[in-house]
Amino acid sequence: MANGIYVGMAGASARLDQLDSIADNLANAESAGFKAERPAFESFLPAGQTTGPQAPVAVSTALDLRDGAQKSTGRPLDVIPEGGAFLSVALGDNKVGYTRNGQITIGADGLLMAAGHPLLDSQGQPIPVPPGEHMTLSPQGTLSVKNTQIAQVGTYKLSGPLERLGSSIIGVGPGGTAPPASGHMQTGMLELSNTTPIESMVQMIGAERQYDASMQAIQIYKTMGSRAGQLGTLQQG
Amino acid sequence: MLRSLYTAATGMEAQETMMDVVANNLANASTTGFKASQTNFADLISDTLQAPGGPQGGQTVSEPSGIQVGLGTRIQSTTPNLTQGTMSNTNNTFDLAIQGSGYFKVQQADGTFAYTRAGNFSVSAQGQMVTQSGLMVEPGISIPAQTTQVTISPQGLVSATVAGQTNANQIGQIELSTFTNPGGLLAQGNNLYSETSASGNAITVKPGEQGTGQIAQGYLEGSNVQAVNEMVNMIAAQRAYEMNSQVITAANDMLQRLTNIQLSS
Repeated sequence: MANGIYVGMAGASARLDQLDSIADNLANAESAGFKAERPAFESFLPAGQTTGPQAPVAVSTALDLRDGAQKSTGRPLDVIPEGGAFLSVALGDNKVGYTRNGQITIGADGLLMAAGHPLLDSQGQPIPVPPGEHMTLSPQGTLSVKNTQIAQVGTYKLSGPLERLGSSIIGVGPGGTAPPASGHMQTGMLELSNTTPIESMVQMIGAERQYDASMQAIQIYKTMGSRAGQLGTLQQG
Repeated sequence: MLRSLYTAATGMEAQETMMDVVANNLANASTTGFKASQTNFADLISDTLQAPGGPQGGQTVSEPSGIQVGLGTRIQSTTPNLTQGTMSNTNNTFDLAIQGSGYFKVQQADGTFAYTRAGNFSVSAQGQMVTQSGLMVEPGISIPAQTTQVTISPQGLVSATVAGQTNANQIGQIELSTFTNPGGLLAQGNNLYSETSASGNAITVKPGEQGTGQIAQGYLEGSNVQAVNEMVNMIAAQRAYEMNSQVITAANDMLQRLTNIQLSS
């Protein structure tokens, strides 16, 4: 069998992977602080070959870290860290996650929470809230009770390999870095998803047509295979 | 089977919930002290096909990022929008509006406390100041018999003038409750909220203190539902629902094409 049929198969398979990513981006078009994923494809040659058809495979999914649209909520504990920075949260096992979902709340144990996990200050410590006190959060990221500063919320710039951990939380993979940022933030605002529906719909149409093309190629190889079979039959007859 | 089928389904489900919230907001566009809810979405966990930073595809160099495919969305929470509702003048003695943050505290039948922004109070048969559902304002305020006039100051001081007297006597103080995270209050229905571990404990102060609002007598705070916003949210939910259904159609078409290849000779 000509190995071109496998190239067609790899192409079709890659487009199915791409559709999975598009589906996730579209499903999260309303998730606060969501960062869209972008699959990257590369062509590869079968091992030991230097020429011949090259099959595409998905080699990585990169996170699109562009800012999403912003929405004014008027809630004093809704924040958007400035300059594309992320809030940090404790994930347990001394692991730290990062999020752009700036809806800060108070947890059952009196700790400030973001994206369902304890929010960390600039020293990497959870922030307990004094019970029964009125608390304010400044655009400089400082938390105060009765005009006395109790904590500085930590913000970080992410780069390098990143992984999504669910619930709008992003982790830093091996080799990735998260240096501290200014801690400044817009308050009373929330960042929405950075999925752009038009882009996603166009990508979806593109993926579907390229999938069709790959299927067409498989069909042609299949027909060629059966013709070759018929040729053999003629010779015998 | 394609993940995208299930991923798009999570999107459609979440948009249905958003429509439910929009419908409730619009239904309460005329409810005194009602705070519109907003729907908050969060992504689900991702399928990690290849961890970031590892070598792959027989190559020796490590890739800068792995392969992760997200599995969709979910409703993380619904939070109230705490902006001020529209104020309307009613001239009723016991209609009170809070100009700013804070909640009136009322005692429920079971002795626990609830909090409300709806200041359309009345006087009960026993002369107590109560909500429209008969719950007593806390701390309790008794209106003396034969009272001709009750005035409530912006700081919450309640004074009554009794028939035959010229001077008003102070008969009580209205207090407001404030919360570190008012978004964490639990809506109970009947315009009432109860405190939760997420809201923090109630802090009781006099109106105007610690950032709370002052009292406006003879006014009512209407619903803060913005009909235009809700219509926009409805359109957004409807279109997002359609786009997710388009993904299902695309995935279905692609799978159908695959089946056709196997069937045709």
